[in-house]
Amino acid sequence: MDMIDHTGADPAGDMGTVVSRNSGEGVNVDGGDPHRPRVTRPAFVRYSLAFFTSALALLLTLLYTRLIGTTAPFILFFAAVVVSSWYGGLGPGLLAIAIAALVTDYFFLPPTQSLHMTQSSFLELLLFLLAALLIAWLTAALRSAYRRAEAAQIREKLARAEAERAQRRFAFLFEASALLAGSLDWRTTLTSMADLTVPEMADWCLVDVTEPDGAIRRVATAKLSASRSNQVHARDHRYFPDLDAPFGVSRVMRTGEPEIYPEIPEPVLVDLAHGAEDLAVMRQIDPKSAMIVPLVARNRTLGTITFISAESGRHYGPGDLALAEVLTRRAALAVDNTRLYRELAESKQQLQNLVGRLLVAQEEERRRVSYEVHDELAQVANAAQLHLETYAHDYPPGSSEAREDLERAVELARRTVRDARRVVNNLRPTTLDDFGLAAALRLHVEELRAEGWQIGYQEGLGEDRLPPLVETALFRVAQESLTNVRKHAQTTQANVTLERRRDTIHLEVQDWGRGFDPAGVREGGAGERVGLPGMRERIAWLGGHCIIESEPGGGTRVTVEVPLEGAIANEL
Amino acid sequence: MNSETRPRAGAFRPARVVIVDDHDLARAGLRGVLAREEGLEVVGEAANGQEAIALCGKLRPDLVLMDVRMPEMDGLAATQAIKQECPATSVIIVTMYENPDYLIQALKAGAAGYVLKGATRHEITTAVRQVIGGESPLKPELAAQLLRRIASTASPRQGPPVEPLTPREYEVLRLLAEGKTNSEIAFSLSISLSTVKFHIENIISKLGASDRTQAAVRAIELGLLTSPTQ
Repeated sequence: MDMIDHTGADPAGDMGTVVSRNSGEGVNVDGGDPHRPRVTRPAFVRYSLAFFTSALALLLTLLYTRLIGTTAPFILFFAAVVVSSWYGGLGPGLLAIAIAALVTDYFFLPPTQSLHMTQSSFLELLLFLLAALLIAWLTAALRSAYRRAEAAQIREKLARAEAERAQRRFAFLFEASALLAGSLDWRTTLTSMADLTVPEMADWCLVDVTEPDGAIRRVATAKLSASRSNQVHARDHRYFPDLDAPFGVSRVMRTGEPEIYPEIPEPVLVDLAHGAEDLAVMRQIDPKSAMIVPLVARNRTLGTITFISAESGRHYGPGDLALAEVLTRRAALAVDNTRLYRELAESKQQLQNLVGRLLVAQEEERRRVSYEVHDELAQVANAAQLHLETYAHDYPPGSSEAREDLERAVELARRTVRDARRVVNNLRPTTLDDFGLAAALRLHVEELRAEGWQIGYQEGLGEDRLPPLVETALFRVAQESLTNVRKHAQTTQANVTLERRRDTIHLEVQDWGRGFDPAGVREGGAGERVGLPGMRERIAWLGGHCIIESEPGGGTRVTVEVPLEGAIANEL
Repeated sequence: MNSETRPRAGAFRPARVVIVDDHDLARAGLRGVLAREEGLEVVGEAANGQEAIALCGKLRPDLVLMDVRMPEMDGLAATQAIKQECPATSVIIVTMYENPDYLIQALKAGAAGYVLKGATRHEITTAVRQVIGGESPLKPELAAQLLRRIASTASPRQGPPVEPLTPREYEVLRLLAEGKTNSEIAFSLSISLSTVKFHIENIISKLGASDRTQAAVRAIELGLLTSPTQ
């Protein structure tokens, strides 16, 4: 009996837990209660059963001995023993045997109406006792085995239900994760999140976030489509939290601790609502149970998700809260990530814009200075030179010394004009503005050739002028690359290729100089090569890329590709 | 074609020159140089392209010294307009840059040649005298290179009817377009220098050009050099 009790009690306990979880999670095992086996009966009932079956057996035996005489007084008592030990266990079986022995001795064994017995009666009774004991023991053992089997069956059923639930939960979380990972906009993330929880976890799902000014804003709601109420504070409902609220969204926001309400009695509902309007809405929803879980990421409470059970009538338990917390934590991380991503993208964009403005401003400034030098300084120097020469013509110097002085002055003025021309060319070659990239580069290459460089130039841009920003950027990169050749490569052998491939402009500057280790000149590396990151930034701003290949002793190759489309988009 | 009745400047009368530059100092510098030259007379000055066109229409000078970068209208556009109205007026571009791209543009606009900003008094007066005297102010190699590039890019178009050239004039024109100097032409054709000068005067006149350089440019544009049957 102990063993039966024990084995039977465990599944029953499990069952109880499962059933309450079922109501929470909407996972149906098999409806629960009706088939729940009763494995323990009170001792009083069990022993009474033995007594009554024995009494019944006595009555029937008395009856049939009156009708047909005494032949087998023990038969019906065997039945009583079997029934007692099946339904009551070994103890009641033994009681039934004892009663049977007493009453048969008294009523049926000679001498009847007496507990005295003859030797044969005694023998007969002894045989009955032995047989009955055997039957009682066997019956009890059979019963015990039967119950163990029954318990095992229940356990198996429960285990299967548990596995199914775990699978569903996993699938749910998987879906939630995929959804959360997919979105890069936090509002979308939270809206999808709310939609996902209905009806799987809740009949209503409300998402609130804290705003920078401390207010709470509802950013997403989801509800059962067949919901009784249509009135829930829609998106963008906004209110300031009650700092003294004993519980509810305000408190969860403040403390970062989740709350669970297995039941929601009226006073709790009143406290949960913020204001009369909200209370009216809440009454319409008629919540049965609720959970408020904080959206916490990096120790910051971003908001809350409120899960409400209404129509479904389920009551949330610790298991539901655990799932809700897992889900909410993921949502918070996803929201945090989208915010970080957006901030990163924004600052990247700002940086890009800044680089762009800087480059444009720099170019503008160069152009301005260049034209200033061209239009003023050079003209004045030129005029001075001509005036000096005219003066010399009008008043020829008397001495060779005076003539030399004058000639030196003329030469200085001429040199100023030449220097001005060189400055203008370096700052912002007018060729670039007037004739475009191909001509400006050709001129640059020709100047280097005039200095004795062995430099090739292949150009295939076609007739059309490129967007000014692209022309400037590519010219600067080529200029910078050739300056690097002059400064570092210790060679005057180089090649420049410029061509258009569909909608991409391709520039390549190669030299056969001493090369360098590109790893050694990353940003912040040798100050001498500050030009390289600058080149990359210039090109990246236009949506292109700039590859610098080099190795010590192997020359250097700068390859640039710029899409025309991106450049047009950047045109200010 | 050449509606000018006035004889070409030379021994009989001084060449009339107009200076165009937006910079007062630059104009004054050039005026100082040219005004003292024998046989040259600075008849007017303009500060931009628009003024230059108006002035040239009125004065019909033999030569214009033209700055390139000017407000209102730049030197090249002004040159083009002046050549339209006064084909006999030669234009010398005064430029900061010896860049062939600029020079080709200048030649196409109608310039006879250029002087560099920063050129000496001597260089300036030489260029002016060469243009007036029917010689090229351009170095022969540079002239040849520029004319080749003009020939390679310009599609020969049907120009206004020209007075037919004699075979001898064609020979001279061909050598002229190759950038040859007068003495080289005289040597190649085994004729005297004065005969060459005479032919060149005729060619310039027949092509309705103002100077030697523009005669070559015009010949290229008319396709005279590409079709040997002419």
